[in-house]
Amino acid sequence: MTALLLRIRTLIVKEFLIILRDPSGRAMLVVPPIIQLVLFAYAVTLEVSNVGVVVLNQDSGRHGTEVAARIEASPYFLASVERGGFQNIRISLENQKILMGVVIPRDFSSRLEKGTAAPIQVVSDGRRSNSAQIVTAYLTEIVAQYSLELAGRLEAGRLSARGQSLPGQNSSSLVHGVPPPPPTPPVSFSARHWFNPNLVYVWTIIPSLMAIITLLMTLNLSAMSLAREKEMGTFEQLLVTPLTPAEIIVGKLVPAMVVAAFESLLIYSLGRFFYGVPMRGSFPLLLGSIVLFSFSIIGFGLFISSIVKTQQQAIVGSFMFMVPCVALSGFAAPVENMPAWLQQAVVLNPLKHALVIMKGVFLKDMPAGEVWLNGWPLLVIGIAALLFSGWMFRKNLG
Amino acid sequence: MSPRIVKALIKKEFLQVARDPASVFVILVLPMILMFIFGYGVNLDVGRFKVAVVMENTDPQSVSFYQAFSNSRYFEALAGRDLRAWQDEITAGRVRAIIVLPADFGRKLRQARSPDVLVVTDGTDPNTANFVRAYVQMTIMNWQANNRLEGGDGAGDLISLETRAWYNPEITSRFFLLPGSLAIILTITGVIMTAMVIAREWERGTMESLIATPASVVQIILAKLLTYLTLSMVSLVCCWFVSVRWYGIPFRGSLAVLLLLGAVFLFTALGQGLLISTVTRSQYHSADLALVSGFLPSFLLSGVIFEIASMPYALRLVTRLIPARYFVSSLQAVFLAGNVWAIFWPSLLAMALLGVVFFVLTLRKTVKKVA
Amino acid sequence: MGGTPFIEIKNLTKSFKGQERPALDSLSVGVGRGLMCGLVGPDGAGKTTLMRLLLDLLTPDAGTVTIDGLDSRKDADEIRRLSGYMPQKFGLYEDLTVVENMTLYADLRDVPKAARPDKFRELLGFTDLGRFQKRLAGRLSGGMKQKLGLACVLLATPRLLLLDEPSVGVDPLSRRELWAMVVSLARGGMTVLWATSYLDEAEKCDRVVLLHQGRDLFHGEPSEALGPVRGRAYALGGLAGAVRRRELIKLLGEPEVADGIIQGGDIKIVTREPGSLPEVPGGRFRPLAPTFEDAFVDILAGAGQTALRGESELARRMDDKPDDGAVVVEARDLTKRFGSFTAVRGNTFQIRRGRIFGLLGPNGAGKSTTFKMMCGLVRPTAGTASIAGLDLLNYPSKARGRVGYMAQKFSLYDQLSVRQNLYFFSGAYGLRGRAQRRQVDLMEQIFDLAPLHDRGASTLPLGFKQRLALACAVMHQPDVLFLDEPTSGVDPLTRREFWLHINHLAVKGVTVMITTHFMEEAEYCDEIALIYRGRNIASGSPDQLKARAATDRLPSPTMDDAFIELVRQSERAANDEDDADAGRGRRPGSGKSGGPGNASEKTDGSETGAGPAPAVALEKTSEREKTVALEKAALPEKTDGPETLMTQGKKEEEEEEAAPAAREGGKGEKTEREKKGGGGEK
Repeated sequence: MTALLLRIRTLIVKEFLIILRDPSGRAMLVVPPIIQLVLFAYAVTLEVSNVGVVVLNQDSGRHGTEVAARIEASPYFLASVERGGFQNIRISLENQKILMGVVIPRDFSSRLEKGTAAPIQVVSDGRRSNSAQIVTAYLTEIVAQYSLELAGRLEAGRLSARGQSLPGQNSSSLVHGVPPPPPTPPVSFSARHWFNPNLVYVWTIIPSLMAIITLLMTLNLSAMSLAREKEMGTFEQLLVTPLTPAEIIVGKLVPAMVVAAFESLLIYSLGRFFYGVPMRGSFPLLLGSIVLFSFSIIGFGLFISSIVKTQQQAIVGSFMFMVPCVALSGFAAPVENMPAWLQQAVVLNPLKHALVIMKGVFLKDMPAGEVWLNGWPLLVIGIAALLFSGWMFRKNLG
Repeated sequence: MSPRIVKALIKKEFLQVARDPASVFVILVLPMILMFIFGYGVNLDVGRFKVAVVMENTDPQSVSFYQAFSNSRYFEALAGRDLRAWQDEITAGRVRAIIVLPADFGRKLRQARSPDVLVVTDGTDPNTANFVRAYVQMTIMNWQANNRLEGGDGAGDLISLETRAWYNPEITSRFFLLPGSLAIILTITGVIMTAMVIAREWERGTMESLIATPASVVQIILAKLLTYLTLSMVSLVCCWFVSVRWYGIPFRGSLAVLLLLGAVFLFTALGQGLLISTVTRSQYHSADLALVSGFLPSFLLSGVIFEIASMPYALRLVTRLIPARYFVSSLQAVFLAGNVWAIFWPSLLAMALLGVVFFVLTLRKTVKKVA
Repeated sequence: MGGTPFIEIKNLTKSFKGQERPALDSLSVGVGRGLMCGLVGPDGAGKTTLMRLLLDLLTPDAGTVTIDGLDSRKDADEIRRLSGYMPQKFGLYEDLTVVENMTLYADLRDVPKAARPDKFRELLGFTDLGRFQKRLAGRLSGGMKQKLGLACVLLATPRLLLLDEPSVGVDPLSRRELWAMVVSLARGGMTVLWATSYLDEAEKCDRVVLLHQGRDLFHGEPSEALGPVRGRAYALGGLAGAVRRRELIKLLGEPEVADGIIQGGDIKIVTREPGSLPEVPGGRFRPLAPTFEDAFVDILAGAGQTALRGESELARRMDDKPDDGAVVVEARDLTKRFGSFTAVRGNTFQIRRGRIFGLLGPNGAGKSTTFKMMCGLVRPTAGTASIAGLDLLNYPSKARGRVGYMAQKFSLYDQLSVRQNLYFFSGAYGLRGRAQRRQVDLMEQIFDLAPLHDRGASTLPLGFKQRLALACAVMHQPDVLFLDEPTSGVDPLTRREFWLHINHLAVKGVTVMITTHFMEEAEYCDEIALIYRGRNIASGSPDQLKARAATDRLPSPTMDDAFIELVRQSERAANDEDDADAGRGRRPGSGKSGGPGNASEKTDGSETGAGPAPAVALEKTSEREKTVALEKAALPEKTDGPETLMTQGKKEEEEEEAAPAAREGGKGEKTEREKKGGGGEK
């Protein structure tokens, strides 16, 4: 037993010496993740704060002006109010100068005054419909708000016009013998965003990046390590020593997991102390999740490593794994938007589970039971991948 | 400079590609896989959000309110009685929001007083949280408007938004994601393949044989360029065909324009690939560098998924150096809007300029030397 | 040599970043027009650098090169036009066919269309590639690839031919053919520069430039180099097994002896002074003609290379293994099939303790597969491989613990330092604590690695890499040492030092198994198994094999000659068998090829049963055709893994189209039979 442990220790020490030997190797562990962090943290945003919106106010009444002013004042996007023809909007939209045109029609105020419905036309660029939908949501809020206020005022006005006073004193209606229509006062509405009250984008991204950057770094490391040994001939040299395939795999697995933990914690510290993301959950739980996740990723990496012959094939292989992994993880687009069959298929995607766990533990203080519910597939994936690479190992020998 | 040498080299390149399963894979299969991912896996359409409507009292008003949500095309509403019971669900990510109707909701309405509705969203997904808030408000408005109409009380909805999305009226995210993804696909075939093929010649020693002959650097590079340009154009046409036929993406521009845009973009992408392989001369480093400088920017900084306008200023400047950025907006235009030359001209110019820079650098770096 | 030489090199110097000494150190040499000039030296001597400088593929730090009056830097294009260059790495496209490669180079070199058919026919005839025109270059055997490379270079009839080690990694037969091609095709005043590390090739050149560590140690006619060693070479014969090894160790300790090697049953020595011989009781020296290698070693030793010591410090410090003559390594009916292709069929041999066993054979003949099965790197399809009685299948870990392995390319961890490599490998073999530290220190001391122990393994000079690889393989005191082409690329002195250790280790009871392309190395073996077409076609001591290969034409063959002759005999026997299968009836075996009985000679019966080919067949089959058959048999050299088998079907179709001739594998035999069957089945 001790002989076994000592042999594995020898392998692990070797692996660390290789990773950490020269300054460039050490820099490779720190610099790329930081660059990726900065790049992702700023590039990956679905905010629309700088997209252009033109409000074409054809109405000269007060409602038109008021709505236009409110849209223009919105902090969520860049709006400007114009008068004049529609042609301008058409061209700007076509040339992607603006994302959206809002047209307040000529009779907007007069219709509202009459108490009839007054539509506002919104034309958006369907080529960027994602951003358009987000802006539309903001517009909806602005308009709904105004609408509510207006409804309240009109209601009040109508009631007083009919000689009725405020609700609650509607005894006079009984005089006419006709039950008055139930008044509908506006429902007041308040929204609270749990876990991230100001909806700061970077809060969401940092926990996701803990998983994604760890994936990028360790997958390559593990996919490459055996391939490199194969290319250099040291793999055969290993195989003729008393080391068994299982020991060699463990010797690759452990150092890569340590590196994975290091990368995660690097992103974690930068996120907490540089970006100020609050950590709400239990740190040991987070660490445990990272270990579980890295286990599944390295399993995959070693699997790739076991089927390729050269480093170049390894890099292509890990790329082929990485792209679907990231694209189908729920990071770029929600998993529940996928077709049902694809949602079932992405159970095999370790990153999908990891994102839920990382965000959950980091921001929501997800309880351990819930983490396990999302985490056990990682364990299964990792074990399956390792068994597979062990099998490939043996197959290579024969 | 005779065309004979270039012709001979091109013939050689084609023979090599035809016999290399990996090349065929990259040209024909990889694009299909990526289109599949973008066609099915990355869907940014606003779907139905799963929300819980917590009614502390089941009076008719509360139930009617709940029904407004369960009938909404934006929500999949679950009924609940207690906020605390749903807290874990939101933590686990199983519901996106909880809408809480206070116990006095119905009573206040009957007394014509304003009840307070609380909406709790999962802030860990700000995008969804925003959508949910806006749609909840809209749904409440509609509900009230309907109540007024049913009550015969004059005006229903006062102000409504009549939205129309040009070029993509159904607002299908696939319509803009798939054309955009062609830029990513051609970046991969263009940059990564070229980066690897020249490095391969250095590694296998064939370059040393080649440069010891009268063939000049320009001829060697030109042959590579023409070959991979042709192949990538085949790739582009395949992708175009599949987009239109299988994924049902409208194509409103002309194919000739698409090919022109593709050719100019590829010129740039291939230039980048050639430059990478000339600098590294090793397949391994080429692949690595091509992924970092080709794939990642085309994915993150080209505006396919993430809005460039929303990035910080410095990053927006960086995107100007990324050829895929210009190609993405042109592709989306040529598919969905038609031949919008106001977009195409500046894009073509920018791409061509970047391409020229890459080639000048490549020619400067490729000397007929082995070290 | 009158007038200005064709190539004139003056004070040529070239250094590379990160290397202590220049790759070429102010070299000044002239080569006359129309001469065949051998450029000789071990790896890293500067041969490739010189060739690249001639073609302006590198820029010199100082000095000039003039080729036929053209300046190598200013007129590079012109020089490239008039010269043909064959780089060391196979520079043709492996995924193009033979003819496609030739057409490409004909286009690049502007060979007129009208002249092509004749030219192609001539070259294809010479290279014997005519039947393989449609085969992918990557599917050719090592020797054929080199011939194709040569053909492509000769397409445009260059005036200067630069060949960078065309014979490296090529078996003796193909090496001879390449040489013959150059000699017969390089006519009409073509100047040839032939770089090689094979000294027997250099000996045959008109001129020789001997490079070592970037410096010119000698240039002139080869016979001039032999002058100083004339009358100093002797052979001591008639010694058996371990005795000659002990004797050599002793002789190398004598002050009179400058150099010594084992040649089969003989010991060959070069004395310091002509005629002054050491005393050997009962021994009888007979004078030998010196070889170019003797001269090279002499020159190197004169240039201050470390002199040989009599004893191996390494072996001295190793524990003695019991001298019990037990069988340590055993292969029983070892067979390996990859799909339908049989790489190794029914090999059986035994190696007793303290003996040196050599596996020889052309590329792709199955020797490396055999070797890998013995190391446990490849699982046999049938049969067993055992080490010290432990079956490699049942006790792999335990069995491997008793083996030391030195791979072809000295597989060390480049990213680790010398010391870290030593620690890692000793740890992998289970050494630890004080014992581990002691062994590592000892190795550093024995191999002079101590001053370098912090250096990365990748930055070591080749000779030190080899020492380190040997150190890593022997630290755990293995019973068995497996060596896969252990000395390729190193200079003869380093090779001698290596063999000093191996010899002495064998004396101490370590059992050695080795593969090699160097026939000088084969001479050190007690026993050799010649593997061809997956079979053990001949085994015995070097002298036995030489005796078996002796013909009237060549009564005392060298090991090279023996190799070639035995392979040809086997080829004839195979044809014979096919003929017999085809219904002609088996000729009675003459027994000529059956070697004397030997402990290890339990091989398949094919060789003993096979007689010489029938006279008719012999007449029909010209020497050349036999060679082709040999090349073809050596073809599936890449068929080492299952993945190539997926392409096998397609490949076979191609082959059928291109070459309906003898091939390896079941299908091949069938085609062969069909072809032969002209007079048989039909």
